[in-house]
Amino acid sequence: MTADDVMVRLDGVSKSYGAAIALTTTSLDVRRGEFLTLLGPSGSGKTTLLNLIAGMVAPSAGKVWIDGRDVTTMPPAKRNLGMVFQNYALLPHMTIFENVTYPLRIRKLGEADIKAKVAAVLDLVHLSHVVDRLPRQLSGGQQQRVALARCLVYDPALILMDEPLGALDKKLREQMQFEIKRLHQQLGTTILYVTHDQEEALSMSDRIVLLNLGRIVQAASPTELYFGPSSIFAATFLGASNILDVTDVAADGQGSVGVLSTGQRLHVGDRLPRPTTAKVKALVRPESIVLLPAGGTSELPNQIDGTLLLSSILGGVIHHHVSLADGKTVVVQELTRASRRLSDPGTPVRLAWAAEDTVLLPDDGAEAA
Amino acid sequence: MAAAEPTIEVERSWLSTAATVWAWLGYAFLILPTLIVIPLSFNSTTELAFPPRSPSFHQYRQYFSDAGWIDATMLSVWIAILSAGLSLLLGVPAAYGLSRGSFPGKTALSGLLLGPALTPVIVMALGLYIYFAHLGLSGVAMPIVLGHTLIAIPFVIVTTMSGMRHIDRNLEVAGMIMGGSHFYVFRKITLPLLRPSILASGLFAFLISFDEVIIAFFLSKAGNPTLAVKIFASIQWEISSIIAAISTLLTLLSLVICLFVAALLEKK
Repeated sequence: MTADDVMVRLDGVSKSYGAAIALTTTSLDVRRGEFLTLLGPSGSGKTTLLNLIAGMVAPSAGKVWIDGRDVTTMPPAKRNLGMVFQNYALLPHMTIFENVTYPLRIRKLGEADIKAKVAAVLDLVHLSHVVDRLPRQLSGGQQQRVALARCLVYDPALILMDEPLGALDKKLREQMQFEIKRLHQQLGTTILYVTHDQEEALSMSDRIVLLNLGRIVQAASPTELYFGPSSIFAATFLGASNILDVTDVAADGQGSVGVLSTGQRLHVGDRLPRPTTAKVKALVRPESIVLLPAGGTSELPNQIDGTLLLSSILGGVIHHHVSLADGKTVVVQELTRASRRLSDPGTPVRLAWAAEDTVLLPDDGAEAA
Repeated sequence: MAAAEPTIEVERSWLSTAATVWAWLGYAFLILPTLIVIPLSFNSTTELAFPPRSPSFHQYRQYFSDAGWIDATMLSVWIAILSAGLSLLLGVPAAYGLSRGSFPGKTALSGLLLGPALTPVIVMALGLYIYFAHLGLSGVAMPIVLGHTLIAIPFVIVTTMSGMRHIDRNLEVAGMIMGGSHFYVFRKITLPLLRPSILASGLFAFLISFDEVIIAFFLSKAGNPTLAVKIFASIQWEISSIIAAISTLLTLLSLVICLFVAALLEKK
């Protein structure tokens, strides 16, 4: 990556408030035109990271570069950023037109230029008909689209979004996710998006930076992060997961083999490198497991017997909770069909899954997220 | 459960009715002296008869045709306007700084600024009298304006700070990230949103100055009393029913301003 491709560079930045560390020493490059999501639970440091880039807080150490300029000590007003807030932050005493013109007036554009730009950007977010209204006369979704328009209208180098859809209901949120994604593809703006919603991160991002306890846990594309988590935290924070205890892991042909706590052998594919730690655990996603009747046969190398605890239909999918011989519960996900008859609790079943769907994770002793 | 509910309901409403009645009685007791002045002001003679024997606007005509009373009123109006303006000029920036800034000694500074509200006015009046005499500060209005500004500032600061608390900090942050300087954001975002609080505290300051007797009494020049001081002085010599007329007008003014302030603060 050449310097020209980098929109934001965090060079060893950290932030602490007295003895409390909000962000440990962190380096990160955001590519020009990238949709990068900072994902993590509250207190993970994602908002601190965003505020460091916005200039709302100064780093305790390290340097921040935006668009090739060292902005470490530059006030927010000079950084040429756009920001979308969770509560929209529209100016309540100004009409939609005045709200969107605010950044243009600061930049001292001519009246004709202003009118043309505002008309174009409101058209882009499908809100041309509300120019004369006040923010409180609009719905939450409309207000957030105005906030987007107010950002896009002055074409900032980088747009920061701080949980922008957190205040909207589920349906509207999905609609706005699509809208933001569409605008990103259409305009090619660099977007730095903060959320604690893993589905939102997976569906929108080019790259996800997963944070926990003030440090970056993993930075990867949604697919890499979902199928190749590098820690138990990453595995459990994104998507549903079954974490199994496994011992005596050793190389076996192309992949690895180990022993599960129930005594069965566990076959692991060679898709990912084996963790180097002494202790490991194994991840199997619920949708990777096939539910067979007791004694059923399968080509799949990993097979384990259990007892059905409960099956529940969640619309498009069924979740089967299965108890293993050692008392551990495993969740199996299956797509629903109208003809599917659910078995009674207590029915003996067999679980099977592929070697490549098993991921070994370093057992760092940390609690699962 | 369903049977127990009405009992609870009855008990609660009995208690709240009693409390309401008690509160209104207390309120009536306090406001009665103010209200009794109103019929008194319609006496036609100089005596204070209740009820007035032959109601008329005689006292009001007396007030408006007496140059001494009108001069005193105009002096009070000017002093109140200047004190209100000055206390806004000093109090609003102070409130902004105390709400948004973070600097060492902030708590101590806000204590200091709010101090005059807790100091006995007579102590402050005496202090100002001696202080201004030392400085050689002369003029009819200026010493009183400064004194009134001092006692109005805490009210301006408290009202404005409460207004600041209602302004979402993110609005100012958004304004800055979009490129606005601190001053631009203050002018275009903070100040317009703060306008009701500023107007309300300005009216409060006006009223505080207009009603104030003690500081004005200490600092006014002989022959140039403020309205409040003139009322106070004249009541020592005679009980004139012209004072009832003036008091009625003052009550009306206070009422109008208070209702206006309430409406302003309600709208937010």
